[in-house]
Amino acid sequence: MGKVVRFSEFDQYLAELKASGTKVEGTILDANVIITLNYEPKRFHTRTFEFIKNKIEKEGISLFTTVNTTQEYLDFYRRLLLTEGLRTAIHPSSKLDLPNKKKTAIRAQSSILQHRETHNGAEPVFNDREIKKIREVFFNSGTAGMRLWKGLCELYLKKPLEIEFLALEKLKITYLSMYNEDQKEIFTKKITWEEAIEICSDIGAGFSDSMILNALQCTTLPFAISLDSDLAYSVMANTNLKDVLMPDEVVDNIL
Amino acid sequence: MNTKKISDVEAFKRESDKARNIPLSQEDIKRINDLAREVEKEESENNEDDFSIVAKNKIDTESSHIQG
Repeated sequence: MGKVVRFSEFDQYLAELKASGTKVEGTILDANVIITLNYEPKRFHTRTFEFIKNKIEKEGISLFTTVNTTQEYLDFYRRLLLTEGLRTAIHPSSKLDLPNKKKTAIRAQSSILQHRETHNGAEPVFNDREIKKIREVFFNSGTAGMRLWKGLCELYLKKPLEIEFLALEKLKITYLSMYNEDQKEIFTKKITWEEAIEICSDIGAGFSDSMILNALQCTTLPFAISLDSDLAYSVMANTNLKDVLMPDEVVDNIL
Repeated sequence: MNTKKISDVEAFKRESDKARNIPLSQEDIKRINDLAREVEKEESENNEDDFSIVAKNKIDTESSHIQG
């Protein structure tokens, strides 16, 4: 029967797993854990970082994830890098001299974001809609506008995203794949979309989360680590699912 | 599993931080500023075209009034 486990309960939880004869070869990480590990403004950064470093690494537990996770991770960094780059570009100290209309467009979206940061405690990252609005203003200036936008994207995204992708290698994450010979031992059954749909349909959890829980069900891995209430509620609502580990505060807010 | 892989979360963070701290080179700055000037040039040319269309329409309207 699956349960939601607090980080602070991990030592006892692990001891019980081992005592029951469960092999703890690895765990599946949710994308929000990976993003939180290296982005300090994220809530629970320190707790999550220390938990992975002092507990998971120390116990020699390998990290697994689904392919969706990399997409979510890179997409977060796409938005973060563009936000930081564009905001720096319009700062009075910037050596870049963008056309006034473009600066105004960036400033307008930045003010909306600033309002969200101040009043809702939002993280300083443009959402996709804001990026689309800024891009539209550049593309409205024809070929020259498009070339300028492409130049900014190359400057702020290309190399940094390549570095972010390579940084992931340091986490030594293994992508779960039924077709990988090296992983044959940990798979107990085939991953199917039908079962992911069933998990999603339980409480309306997001598909990325449903896929993590589904992958977990198909392996010998005993638990996943997440910061997302979707996983916690899914596990609470369906006793057939496996366990999910979360920071204490997230669990306290849910239970 | 044949090979057990253990993460290095500190190295991960260190590498990731590098991505957000790449300084702009002089070439980068020049390239973007040159592209920005091209946009301004294209926009001012379009504005001139717009003005000439407005001016032409105005002259046409006025001359049709005079003829009428």
